[in-house]
Amino acid sequence: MADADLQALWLTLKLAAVSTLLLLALGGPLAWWLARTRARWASLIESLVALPLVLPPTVLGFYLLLMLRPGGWPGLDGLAFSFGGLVLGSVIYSLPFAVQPLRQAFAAVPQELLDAGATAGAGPLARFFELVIPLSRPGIVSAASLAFAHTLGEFGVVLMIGGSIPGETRVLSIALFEHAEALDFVAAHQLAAILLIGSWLLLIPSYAWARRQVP
Amino acid sequence: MAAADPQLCLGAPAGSVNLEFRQQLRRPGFELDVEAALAPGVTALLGPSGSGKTSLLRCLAGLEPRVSGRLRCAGQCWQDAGFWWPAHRRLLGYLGQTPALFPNLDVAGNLRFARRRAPVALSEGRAAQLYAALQLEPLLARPVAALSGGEARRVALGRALLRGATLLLLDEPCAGLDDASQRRFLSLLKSMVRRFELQVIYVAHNLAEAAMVADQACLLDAGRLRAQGAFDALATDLELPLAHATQPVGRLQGEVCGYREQDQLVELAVGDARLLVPDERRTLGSTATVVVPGAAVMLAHEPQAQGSVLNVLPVRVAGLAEAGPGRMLVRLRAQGGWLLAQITRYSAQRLGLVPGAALYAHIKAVAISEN
Repeated sequence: MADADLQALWLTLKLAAVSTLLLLALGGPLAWWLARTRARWASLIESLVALPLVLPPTVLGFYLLLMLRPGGWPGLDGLAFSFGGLVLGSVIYSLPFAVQPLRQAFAAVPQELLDAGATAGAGPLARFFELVIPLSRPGIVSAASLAFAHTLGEFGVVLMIGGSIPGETRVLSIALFEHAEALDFVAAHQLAAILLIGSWLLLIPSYAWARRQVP
Repeated sequence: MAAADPQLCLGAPAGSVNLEFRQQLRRPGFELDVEAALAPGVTALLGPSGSGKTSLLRCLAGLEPRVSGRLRCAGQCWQDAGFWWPAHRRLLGYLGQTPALFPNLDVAGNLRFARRRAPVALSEGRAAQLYAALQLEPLLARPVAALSGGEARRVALGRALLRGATLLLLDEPCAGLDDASQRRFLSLLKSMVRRFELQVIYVAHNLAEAAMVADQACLLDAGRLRAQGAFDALATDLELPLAHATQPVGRLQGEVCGYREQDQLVELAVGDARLLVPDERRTLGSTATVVVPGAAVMLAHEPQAQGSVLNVLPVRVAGLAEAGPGRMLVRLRAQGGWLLAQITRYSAQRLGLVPGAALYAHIKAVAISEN
């Protein structure tokens, strides 16, 4: 494999890892709120979170490009065509894949256990970290692997806001596209196989776990 | 709406008021508004389904943020206008209808979860006493899924007490237990109450269950407090629905005065009379409460010596009430407590029962339970 492709592989893994960590950190509280709130407008937030499931990635990429370009949104402008911009795009793009399993897992934690925790003296944070998180482990594994795998396969958003800067924004899916366009099928095959097998392996544990939980 | 006559209260230990509150909670189609002051000991919360027993208990526990009103426990204010402590700030033990043990921790982990949150670290001695009383030692290394219903409740009770609380809120803690485990759990609870001077609020679905442990009772109806007082007085008050339950109960208090080894009968002194109860040996001189179902009481003008009925007590008729087609309910004052007798209207007429009449109550020994 060419050095440029190894670099693309490394960059892709870095992007997926950073995005997954951010997704768990941000998606966790959001999913917890969605799982417990009785606010009517929560469904608005929920549908907004789910939007990347149905939206063409280029639409998301287009709006992100407007925000991230020089002279875009203050604070975010200048992130276009950078690794930071890709992370932001991935987090938004993969948000539903992290939030939905987390939300389901959190909602399945019985209220009576949380009541028992509260009356045993545990405050809200202690209940979250000592009861909710350990009891939701399968959901967290599922959220992490789905978010990771989904970020690996990201293409449309990257194309719009990242371009193909080696070491900065040239991820595997872009490299694969370029090899195919150049009719270099050997290199394309290598990258396609890596993405195919890697993604499949990532999905196995969470589905195996989900199956084991069924009584 | 006659609440119990306080002069006739029995079994309520003399003690100062420990829990004093007014709790109001509004939900669509339901409104709870209960004001009460409860003395130490065991208070049964009774009432039909949907009367607000569980809601009131959850309010007291600090699990209902939308409650309004006030609440003081042992002189400490937990709630007042514009001020509300959530459950984790209140020092209390709470046990719902399921043991709700944390499945991600083993038994020892569940107990540690509560103990390390004690506001004042529990002394080793006190913890050891609790462990011994609840027989927790052999369970410590077990995963919670491997516990029986009775074991799980013992662990849950331990978890509820290991923070050092003396107020215990129980919501039908025996739900789902078989009769034998239920009896064991209740007698354990009773001994814990005595030994560790606990105050218990006990939501009971079943009158007989409440009769095994309660000193006092609150009767709820549609979110309001309908009556409050000594359990014996409330349970046998003919004006209240408790006496009209399918299986109403009375209670007698006596002192253990002997044991017939061969027959395995405990002898109790109840006033001047002797009561025989089949059970294991009890400590001489200890007090015992005997629960007497209304259907186990037979009435006659003279003591009957023949037949298999062992226990005969002089009683006086305190009141009579219709109880369905052809049935009467008789409230009886006995030395040592109140009894109810379920008899036919025909028998009542034949015996010429009127309030004040002196009679003999005959009680089958096997029908009564003691704890």
